[in-house]
Amino acid sequence: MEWLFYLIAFIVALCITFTGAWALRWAVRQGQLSNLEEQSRSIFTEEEPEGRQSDFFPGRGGSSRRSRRQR
Amino acid sequence: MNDDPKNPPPGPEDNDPRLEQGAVSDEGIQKIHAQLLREKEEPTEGFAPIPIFMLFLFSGVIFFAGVYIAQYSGGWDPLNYDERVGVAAVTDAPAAVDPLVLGRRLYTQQCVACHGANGQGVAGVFPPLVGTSWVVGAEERLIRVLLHGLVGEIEVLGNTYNANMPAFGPNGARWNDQQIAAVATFIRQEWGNDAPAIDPETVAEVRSATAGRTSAWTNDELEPYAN
Amino acid sequence: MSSVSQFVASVNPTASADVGVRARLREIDESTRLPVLLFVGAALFWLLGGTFFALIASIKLHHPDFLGETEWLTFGIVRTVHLNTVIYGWASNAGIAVALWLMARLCRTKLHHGGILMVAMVFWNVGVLAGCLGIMAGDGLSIEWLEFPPYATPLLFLAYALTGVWCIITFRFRQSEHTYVSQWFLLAAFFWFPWIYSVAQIMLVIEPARGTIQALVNWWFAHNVLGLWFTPIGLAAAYYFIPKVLGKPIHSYYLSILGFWSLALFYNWAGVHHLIGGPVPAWVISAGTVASVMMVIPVIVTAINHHMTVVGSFAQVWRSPTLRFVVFGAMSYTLVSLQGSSMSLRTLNLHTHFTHYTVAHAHLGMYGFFTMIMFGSFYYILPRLLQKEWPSSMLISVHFWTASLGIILYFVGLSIGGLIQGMQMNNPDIPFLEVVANTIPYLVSRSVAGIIILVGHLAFTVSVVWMILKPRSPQETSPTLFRSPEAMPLRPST
Ligand code: HEC
Repeated sequence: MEWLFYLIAFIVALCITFTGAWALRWAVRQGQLSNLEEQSRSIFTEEEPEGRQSDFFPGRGGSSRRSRRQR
Repeated sequence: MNDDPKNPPPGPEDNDPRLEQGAVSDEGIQKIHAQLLREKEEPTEGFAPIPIFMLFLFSGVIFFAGVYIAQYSGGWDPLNYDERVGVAAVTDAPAAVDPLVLGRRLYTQQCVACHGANGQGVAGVFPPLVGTSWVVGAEERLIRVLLHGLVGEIEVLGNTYNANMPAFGPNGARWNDQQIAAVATFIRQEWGNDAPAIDPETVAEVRSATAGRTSAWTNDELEPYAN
Repeated sequence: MSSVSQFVASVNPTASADVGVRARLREIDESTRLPVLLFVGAALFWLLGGTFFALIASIKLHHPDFLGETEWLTFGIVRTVHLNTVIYGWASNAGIAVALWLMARLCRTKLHHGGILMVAMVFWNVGVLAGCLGIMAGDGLSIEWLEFPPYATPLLFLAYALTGVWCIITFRFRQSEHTYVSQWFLLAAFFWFPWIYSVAQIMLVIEPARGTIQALVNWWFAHNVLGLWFTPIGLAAAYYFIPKVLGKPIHSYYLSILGFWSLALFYNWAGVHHLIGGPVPAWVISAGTVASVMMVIPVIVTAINHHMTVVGSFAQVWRSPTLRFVVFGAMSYTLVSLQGSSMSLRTLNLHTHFTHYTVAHAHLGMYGFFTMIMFGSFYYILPRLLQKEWPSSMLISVHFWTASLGIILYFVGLSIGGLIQGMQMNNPDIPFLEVVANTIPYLVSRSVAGIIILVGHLAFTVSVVWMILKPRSPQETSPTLFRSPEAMPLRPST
């Protein structure tokens, strides 16, 4: 009985390794690993663009009320 | 990038007054964003080089790892648990145990709590071990006390004690002959005591002679073995 | 039957109607609101519970009589409950909450089938609760990190499977062309955890392996819960929030990818270093040591990457609650990992094994690194989910200072105490009881640190509850994020 579990564990480990290799291949084929500098910008969007800090302590760093009054 | 055709045209929910501001300034942001992108974008195909010091560091780490595994592989022997040894077959019989070292360890683990670090005991409760006939006297009585414990009134160096001494043999801590012998030898030769060592064979004899005993000894029972 | 095919269609991105529509961040955030908030709430509950149990356990170490009369509050139980509540209750719930939100955002897609997640959340937390009560009732197993009695496990499995399925669905629906490094980490974490958890369950609980293989599997599992479950989630958050909040891309994206793959390669070998000195084939331990040392590569890569991103923007870091916590966490990650590599060397391990030094190390990892990053992430996520500002800067400051100073005190105190303890234990002339007595001042310092940390957790909880309860004020159009862009200074482009 015992060897069966070792065998299963071993096969599962092989599958995991294989999946890792497959993921790496997929990434390369998809071009995920090329043009890296631009890809690092993919976290910025129109709503939260690059070049602008997007988190402050509440009420600091320019408050919405002030901007309303200015308007 | 920004004028992604997939982007939905502003839907009805964008009339939300809270969002209006955002929507108005969206264009402005996009303009700035486009500028930023234009400035920065220098498509670097392929891999940016790793800083040189990192290459050195990584080579160093990999080199170290290689040396380490070669050094401490233990001959890749599944039965070898000692990384310093090349091959398991070389290891011979375990080194002989010094009874005094083992005895001291056992004593500090199990006896100090009652008999004290210097074997002085606690006045009126736990008898001392220094210079008492129980310790430096007859071997058999001492072994019996350690194997099965001691209860009832006893006299040690002129004072009487009446409490329980736990068993360390089969009914108690289940020590083997070597351990009993070691602790007995230790208390017989420490703190100025100077009696001959007790060896495991003697303990084994007493153990078999008292086999089946389940309760602690009393003073009277041990009287015959006092000398 | 048709409902089945509908479901199949609904999880198939090409067949569903909204293909090609890239949702806006705000809609994405909104769609994740309920499940993420539920996980956050559960996490907070366990955080407080875990902290209380931690304090009791800590006090018991220097005052053994404290609550000693109550059966279910003995040290063995309290410490175990502490460990399991913070690992499976706080850290896992928090990690899942952050992972869900990040995943949806990075995939640029709205949440599909959020109901699955809520069911998962309920199952997971009922499982944790059952497990903790079971331990208190005396049913706990004597396997480190797997103390939950067997009847709690199926619930956890089910909950986990649901979350994992959801994660894959979301990834399939992604509208982003690029898979950002955080997504790599998150996918990997969701993929690794079921592996290690099920292998450990099978080989330790269901059909226990023989002899030292149990110990090997046990430490392989326990170490990998940190390395393959919490670490990837923590790093995913760090890789997202640091560049995101600063508004500048990560220093070198190439390095971040390198960091991911080298971590994937080395981390899962490292657990064996817990068995140095044990009756395990020497080469297995040496392999574990080597893997632990190789972990220097991903760690240095990550550290340099984060440092170079932050450098020159320290003022911004200070202005952002999120970054204060996340950067603290990232620094702890570097420190704790390098420390871990050094501890896996036999020469140092000789002194640190079985001492409080190891405990300090573990807390620097789980608290200084992971928990701090989770706090930081919450500071970013919650305003966007609730569309409100944090109610009080003061509470945030209190939380930051107590948490950071608390963990520093904890770490420094116990590390010193542990080293002294290790040196003395290796000296046969010093009786064991004396060594124990010598650790007491350091154990007291740990309790003090624990009280400080507890204050921080209370401040954080008050902050969150207050924020949820407070009405959305009409003048305050929107939280931090949705403030009119003109009012915010543009970072001068470098
Ligand atoms: C729980 C406390 C306790 C522990 C632990 C204990 N003893 Fe004793 N020991 C006693 C007491 C009490 C007596 C006296 C018994 C009596 O009054 O009948 C005693 C008596 C003795 C005696 C005979 C009287 C004497 O002082 O010479 C010896 C020898 C002895 N113990 C040795 C040991 C050794 C060796 C150990 C450790 C292996 C040990 N004891 C552990 C409590 C203890």
